[in-house]
Amino acid sequence: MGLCTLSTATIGTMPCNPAVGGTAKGQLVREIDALGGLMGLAIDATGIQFKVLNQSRGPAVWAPRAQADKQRYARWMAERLAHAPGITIVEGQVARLMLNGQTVTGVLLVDGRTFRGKAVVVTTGTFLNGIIHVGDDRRPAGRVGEPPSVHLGEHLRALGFTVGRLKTGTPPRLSRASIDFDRAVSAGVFHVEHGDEPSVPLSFLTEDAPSNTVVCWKLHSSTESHGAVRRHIARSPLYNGQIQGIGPRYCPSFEDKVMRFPDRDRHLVHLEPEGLDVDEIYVNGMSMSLPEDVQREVIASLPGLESARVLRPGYAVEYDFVQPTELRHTLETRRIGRLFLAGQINGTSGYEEAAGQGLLAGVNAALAVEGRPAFVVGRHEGYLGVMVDDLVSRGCLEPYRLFTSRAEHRLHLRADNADLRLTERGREIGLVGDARWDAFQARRARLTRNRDTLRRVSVMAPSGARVTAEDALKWQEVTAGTLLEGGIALEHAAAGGFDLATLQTEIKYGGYLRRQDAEMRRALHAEFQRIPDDFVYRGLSGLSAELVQRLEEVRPESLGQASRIPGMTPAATVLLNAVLSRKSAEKTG
Amino acid sequence: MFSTDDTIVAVATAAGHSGVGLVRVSGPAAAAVGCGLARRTAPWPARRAVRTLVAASDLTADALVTFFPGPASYTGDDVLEVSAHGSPVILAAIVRRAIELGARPARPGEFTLRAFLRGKVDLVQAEAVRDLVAAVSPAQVRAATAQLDGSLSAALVEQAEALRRLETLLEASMDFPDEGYRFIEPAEVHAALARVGEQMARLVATGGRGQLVRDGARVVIAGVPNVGKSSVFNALVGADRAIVTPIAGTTRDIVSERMVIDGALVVLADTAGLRDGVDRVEAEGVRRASGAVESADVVVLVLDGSREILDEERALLRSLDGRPAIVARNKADLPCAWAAGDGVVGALPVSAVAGDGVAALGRAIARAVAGLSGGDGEAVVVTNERHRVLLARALARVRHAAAELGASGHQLPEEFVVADIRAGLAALEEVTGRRTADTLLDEIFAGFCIGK
Repeated sequence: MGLCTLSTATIGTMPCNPAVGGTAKGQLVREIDALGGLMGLAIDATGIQFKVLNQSRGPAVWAPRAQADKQRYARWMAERLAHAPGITIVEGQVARLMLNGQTVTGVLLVDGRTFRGKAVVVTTGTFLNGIIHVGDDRRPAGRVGEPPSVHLGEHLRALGFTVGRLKTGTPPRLSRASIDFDRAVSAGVFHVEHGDEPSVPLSFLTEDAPSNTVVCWKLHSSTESHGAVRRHIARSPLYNGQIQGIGPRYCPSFEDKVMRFPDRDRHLVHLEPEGLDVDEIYVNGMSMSLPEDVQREVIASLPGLESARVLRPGYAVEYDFVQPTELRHTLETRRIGRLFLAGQINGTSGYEEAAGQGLLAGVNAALAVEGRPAFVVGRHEGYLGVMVDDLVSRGCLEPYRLFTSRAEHRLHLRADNADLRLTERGREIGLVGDARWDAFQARRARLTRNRDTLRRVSVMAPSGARVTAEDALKWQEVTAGTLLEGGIALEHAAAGGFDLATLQTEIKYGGYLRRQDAEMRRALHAEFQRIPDDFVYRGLSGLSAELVQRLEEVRPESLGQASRIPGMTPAATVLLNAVLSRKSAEKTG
Repeated sequence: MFSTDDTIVAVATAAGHSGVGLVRVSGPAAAAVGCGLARRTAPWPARRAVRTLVAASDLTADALVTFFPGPASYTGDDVLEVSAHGSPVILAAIVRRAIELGARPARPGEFTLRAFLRGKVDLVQAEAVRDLVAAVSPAQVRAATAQLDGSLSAALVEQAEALRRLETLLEASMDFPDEGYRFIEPAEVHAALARVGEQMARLVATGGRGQLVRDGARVVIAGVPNVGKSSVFNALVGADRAIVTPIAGTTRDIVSERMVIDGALVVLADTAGLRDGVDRVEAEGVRRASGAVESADVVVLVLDGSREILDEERALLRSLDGRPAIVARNKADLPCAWAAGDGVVGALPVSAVAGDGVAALGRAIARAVAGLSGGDGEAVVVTNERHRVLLARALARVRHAAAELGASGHQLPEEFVVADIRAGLAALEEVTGRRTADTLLDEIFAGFCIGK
């Protein structure tokens, strides 16, 4: 297998926030881990602060997150890849795909080298025709200081792919040495944020809780900062028409926040160290594309940052993406056989979303080459499935990121049970090695024994009556932890607390989980109603021309997927169902 | 299921002879059928009734033909309506000719099914069309009309919107934890759920009155033996024989008729044939009769005016206190034997034998029934059992969410509240057909007559 990159030195680089996980993304990292991916292990090995978000909320939205030491993270990844058997790393820029009819057979590099292959996975990040904007300064670049990939974008357009433009951004980086944290903390303008103790790792395989080695700081923007943005808004490429690409609504730039929420007099800002040995501080919440001098003015207006030095200004980056409705659920394009796309090229934002797609595209490319059945994760099985189905069914109008609300079966798609959902499936196709498999089986056995223990052991209720520990766990104030403290012998592996979390959630919210399972089974019916690849939508009266066009673009694989296409009415779904049933009746009759 | 993109034809008016009959055609070939029938090639003027001779098979008939181009038509397709003299021979010939010109016979409810599939009506409205056609009482017409004009749909949409708003705010709280606050406080969620639950409960509660509208009020004629209950029953039934339908499965010992009295749909039950007997069969009959009185919506107590009131009858009168009841003083053709001051206030004089007072008794029954489904309550009444069941399911989930949130002291995590809200929404949307199963549609539209 060959891995072609513009620069071997930048493998594993985190160009934006050096953090992994967060809401929905944390669950996704656990799913990647459950299928043998590296992301969880990498962050556990190189993280500097670990925190579970949403702890005041319920178990389905608890989301592990960790900040990385960005240098160590990249080094860890590069080393693993360098030592991975069967991977050849090639430095160079791909100019175009080599094709045999409508099937890809390899890649041609700008320098004339060619590499043949039975499948190709394209993961261009933000490099495809990338343009970086800082005020009116605009230059072609994939990430700051790195040249973009121009030829491949043109090539994909020429092949007929629907290519659009998206935009994302990153905040300025400050010099840690230039900030007097102690003074700002004692003045009450910075608030120190610690990691969780004990910390919760991202990987199911991490046995010891990783340590928190840094603190972060929280502060609020001031009315002066907002005033500075408003004064110079005409110089923002986002507001003067220079940027055409569409940015993410849910991760707005600082100028967007100020302009779109004029009645908010302050916005939250986090200062996060980018590593142990680096001077850079990431200013979370202040992604900007204003000119450098304005950024300096805005930063200096923040309480506590009056004399902070800006090492690098924030910027916006515009890049090409391919409408993911061009893809099948395997992430293979329908247009070109054996060509797979993953990551930002499919319209997503975020490392985790990219990693999840990379895993699925890689796995399916390998399975296709070996002539084995595809590996598709259902919406009811994981956020991986939710994400891919959303992308291929709905397409992208703005950068896509996962949210827990996108999942119909959220109660089931938790961070604590990602392995229970996916590891067995991963094992079946050879993604899960023996060490992970053994650990997983041991965990499953512990879970069964713990359930037995809870049913067997009785405890004293406040009323004096004896009830089973299982029933006691259903009471609001009782947790698996309190039962453990009360001397009930529940087994659990050292780090992560997955065992207790799974046990507790399954029992405490068993009624909800069972109901959702029943709903899930009902809904699955439509997922199994297949729509043939060559189904003719044109001429079905009752479907509007727009909808026919949409259906032809998406080519849904099942009735369930069709029903999720934007613009699909229930009546249209019924109509489609009617025609499908008639067609299949004609075929069998 | 059948094809939904070809052209269908059916006689829309009732079978048999009538002054005017209507043939309806819907589908892409509607205009061609029109041209073929009228032997013309010119484009058809939209929405204008054109008087023309139509050539149907070996007949020629005088007809009024109107063309409604889609999508602004009943079904959303191109629709052609042909009104002709209502001879079944003529109408059948027009249908035959339409079939020669490319249409196929429509199945029951297929026109309305198309209207639903083309988004012209929601499921609730489609069902209202069926109910409206089948309506026998003004209350049924009123309920179906309210349903058809979208009043029920609007109420459901309003509740769905309230739930969706809660869902959105709760989701925002979970998805954006960095913002560090809740977009809606749990107490507010609790209050909103209670409000929606209350609205839903009111709607579900109309199901009782809805049943009265749909199936008719149970009016039971009661009284001791030999007061003339059967005569009163027969006199009431006789007046409206024409639209009476017998109810299947009536018990041998209670005779009942479904009929419309003075505009009110009732199931009139006679406890005649029952005597205070000693043998076991009769004792069983008495037990059933008193059961019928217990479950009646309105009781008509028949007394014999030609003799004094018995103690037994006084007991019966007392037992009806506070219930919708009418007292009939039968045998009014004979001299009244009730002592002054001993009479019953408001007793209606009736002579079942002579037929006097029967009309007044009918009016009194209709008034009592109107009082049951009275104008005091909601404007929208749920008459359809499918709607009631789904609404009750939605209500159960909303109540469960509110109850669990309350029981936890507002500590129940948001995702569990949302799980109930989403399930409640799904049930609501199933009512209007925003979510639906194919088999359900078959069931609903199978209940239609052909041509609708």
